[in-house]
Amino acid sequence: MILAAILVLVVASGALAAKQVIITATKKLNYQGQKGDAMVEGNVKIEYGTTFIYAEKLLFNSDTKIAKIDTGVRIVQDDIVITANVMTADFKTEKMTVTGNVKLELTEELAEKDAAGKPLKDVIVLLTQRMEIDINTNDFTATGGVTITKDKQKAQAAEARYIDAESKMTLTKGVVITTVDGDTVKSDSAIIYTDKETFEAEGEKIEINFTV
Amino acid sequence: MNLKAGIAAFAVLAVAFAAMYYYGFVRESTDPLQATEAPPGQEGMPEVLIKGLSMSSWADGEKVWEMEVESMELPRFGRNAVLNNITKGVIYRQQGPYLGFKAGRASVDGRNRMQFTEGVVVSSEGKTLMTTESMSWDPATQKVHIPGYAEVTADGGTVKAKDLVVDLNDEYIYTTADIIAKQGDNVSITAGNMRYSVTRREMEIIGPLRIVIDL
Repeated sequence: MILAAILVLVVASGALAAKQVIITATKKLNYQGQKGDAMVEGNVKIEYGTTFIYAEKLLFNSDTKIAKIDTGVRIVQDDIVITANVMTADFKTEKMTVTGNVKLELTEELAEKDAAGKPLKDVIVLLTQRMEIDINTNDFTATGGVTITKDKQKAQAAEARYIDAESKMTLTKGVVITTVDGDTVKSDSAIIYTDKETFEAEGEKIEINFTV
Repeated sequence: MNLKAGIAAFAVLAVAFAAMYYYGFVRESTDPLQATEAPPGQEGMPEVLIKGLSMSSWADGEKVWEMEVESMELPRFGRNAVLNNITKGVIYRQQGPYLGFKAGRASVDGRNRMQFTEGVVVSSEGKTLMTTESMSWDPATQKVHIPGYAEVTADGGTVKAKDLVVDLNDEYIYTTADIIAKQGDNVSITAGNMRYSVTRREMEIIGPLRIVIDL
């Protein structure tokens, strides 16, 4: 009975724990109380759970809980690092949009180990023009042309959708995948698993070019 | 209000005091030695007590300040004049009311500096802007200084700050000590110093800061 009560309290306290956005800066804050706008400057760091956002200047509205950065941004979330020109983050809906020279680096730890016994790592680089990210799940959708590289493999498509829980990236529209050996696969869509060395091409017409 | 206007304003107050002495608000004797000694049983009593005062100060044709005071105690030689219950005070700037104030008590020293105490409230546009327990106003520098803690209130936000200065020559409130600002129940800002524009209602912080927003 006591154990059950404690369990209920623990669960309740977790559910009631309010989420916080913590912003630190070294240079300046201009706060307009009537509008709720805060312009923050100088080594700006936003901390939101396991997400850290770095910039030189930030506009944050305390009423809408929307943060805007247009001077270059670096976002670190677990094993993902994103850089872009512009960012808008809505902390109420936990949605973030980055645009302009978007670069995402996803570091995956492999089962294989090096000579020192440390796990090998794969780095997947994704370049695009626009990306919408779910801060809560790490899922994202990239549009405006997507190029993904992993070692010597390369995948290109008009759009990409990533589901973090499944380590699954779905490429759509004009997919071209180039393998390590230089072979190419063209398809309507393809699924890449970031924790595996395989991919699945889908569509009515799949074209494979390989060297014999 | 510039330095010249400030000096002129307090010169008016000094002249008012002198005039009251001259026209018989004080005892007839002009012997300073006699003036310092209160009659038996009247120690601690003011030399003169004036009830219900309305005072204003003008410089270069412009009103500088005005005060409505419940009573004023004129001291025996060497003591500060005391104003009791300042029910309404207004500081004018650019020919219009700039800040309002009230306080339970104020003392005026030989250099015309005013020390306000007991529930000091400073207001802007009819709304409370600051509350504190002690505030000084130096006409020579035109600066209002709050050495202890003050709470600045504006637009649903509050700033608790120590060592606060209001420069009457411009529109800003300055602090150089740590501040804690709160906007509603969910935004908290801590920083080392602050500049607050009374007219634009904007807060500016220079230096390291930390904002915590509860979602």
